[in-house]
Amino acid sequence: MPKLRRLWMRLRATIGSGHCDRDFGDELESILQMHVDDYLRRGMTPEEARRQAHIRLGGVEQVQQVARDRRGLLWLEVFGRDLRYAARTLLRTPGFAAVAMLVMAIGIGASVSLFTVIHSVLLRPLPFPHPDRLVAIYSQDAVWSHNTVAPGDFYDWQNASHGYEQMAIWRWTGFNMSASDEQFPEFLNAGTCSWNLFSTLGINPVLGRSFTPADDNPGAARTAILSWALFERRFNHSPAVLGNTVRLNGQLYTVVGVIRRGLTDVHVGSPREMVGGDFIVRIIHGRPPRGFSWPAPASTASAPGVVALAHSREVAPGPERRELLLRKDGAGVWPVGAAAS
Amino acid sequence: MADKTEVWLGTLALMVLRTLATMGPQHGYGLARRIEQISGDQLSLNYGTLYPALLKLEQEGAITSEWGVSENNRRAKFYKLTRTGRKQLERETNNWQQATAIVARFLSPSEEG
Repeated sequence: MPKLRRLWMRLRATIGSGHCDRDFGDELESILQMHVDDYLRRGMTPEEARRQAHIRLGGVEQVQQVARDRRGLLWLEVFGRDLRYAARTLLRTPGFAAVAMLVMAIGIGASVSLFTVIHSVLLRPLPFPHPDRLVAIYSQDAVWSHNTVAPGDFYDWQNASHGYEQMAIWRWTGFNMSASDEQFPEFLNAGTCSWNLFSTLGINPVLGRSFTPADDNPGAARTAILSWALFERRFNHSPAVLGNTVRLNGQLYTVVGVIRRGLTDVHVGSPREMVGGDFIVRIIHGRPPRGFSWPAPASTASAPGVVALAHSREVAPGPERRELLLRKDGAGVWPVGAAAS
Repeated sequence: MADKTEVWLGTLALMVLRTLATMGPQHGYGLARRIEQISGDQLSLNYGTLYPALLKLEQEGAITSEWGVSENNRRAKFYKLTRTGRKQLERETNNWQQATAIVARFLSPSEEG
């Protein structure tokens, strides 16, 4: 506490330093006079008394210097002087100053925005385990380099490919959630996915269970997994929501699980009505050694189905994986990070 | 005068507080003389040494200052102990006595051989 008070006093002294200087000068003068009086009383001549007093005092200038250093915050004073000097210099050439500031502002702004993009696209890891082993696969044709994958293709690829640990498919789906329990209806940013999306991403629900293969067929009961945000906002953290139904787009869905906080903006997942979308693939191999390159695509591009299969085996992680691994009339691979940002 | 002991670092504040506590409000000159006197003229204290200590104590709120008139009718700045200062004096006196007692034990003729 005394330290804080001292800092405060010094700050005040710095701001109103003129008054303090005068005060100190007066005090020094009074002390000097007392010394002189003392020496006069001992019978010295006035000149000698004054000389001795100065010696005894230890040099007025030095004392003043020490006092000034201790009283205020010297660095703050110096900084203030620098600021004033800078302002004066800039005001002398306002045109130049304005241009210089503009150039710096634009430069800083550009660097910041560039870094923001790089950070979110390349540097920030995905919130899943082993993000370097996650890729996104798109189908590709002469017109579209990032086309969504037809569900039929997905199931084909899933059955035929051995290069990937798991493949899952999902698409964005909007759901209207009906009013219930005095809660308003609302529109939900949601996704529909194959049953294994969460295990492909390497996450388990914090509450309840994940989807199972049984959830993922046209005749199955409709099931949904909630985001933490929705669970918190709409269901007040109540685990009782598990097993209950919610009405989405007029249909009843059973809530089977909740995933952890901050994972996604998608609020409901459901595997039942998968109609197409980008699909996410987890690759079974780790990062290949440096300098490794994948063989050129097989040129057996006769039947479309074969092309897709051949390429789904070929596309795999390499040092150049962050660039789209393009295959003519085939599949391209993106890291999820680039795709999801 | 040169061979007089310099004031040890850190002890000056304690001396100032103690002097103010026993003598009441004092101006800087009186304080310096008084401290020299109590030390049996073994200490030499010039204002360049005393002033920083006074400033620090004032900034910490242990003492306050006020302009007044000295016994010789000179305008002088008088320093006065505050409540905070009184507490600080008490605390530092204890600390000092403890410290010297410990050191004294080390320096006293050994009892254990």
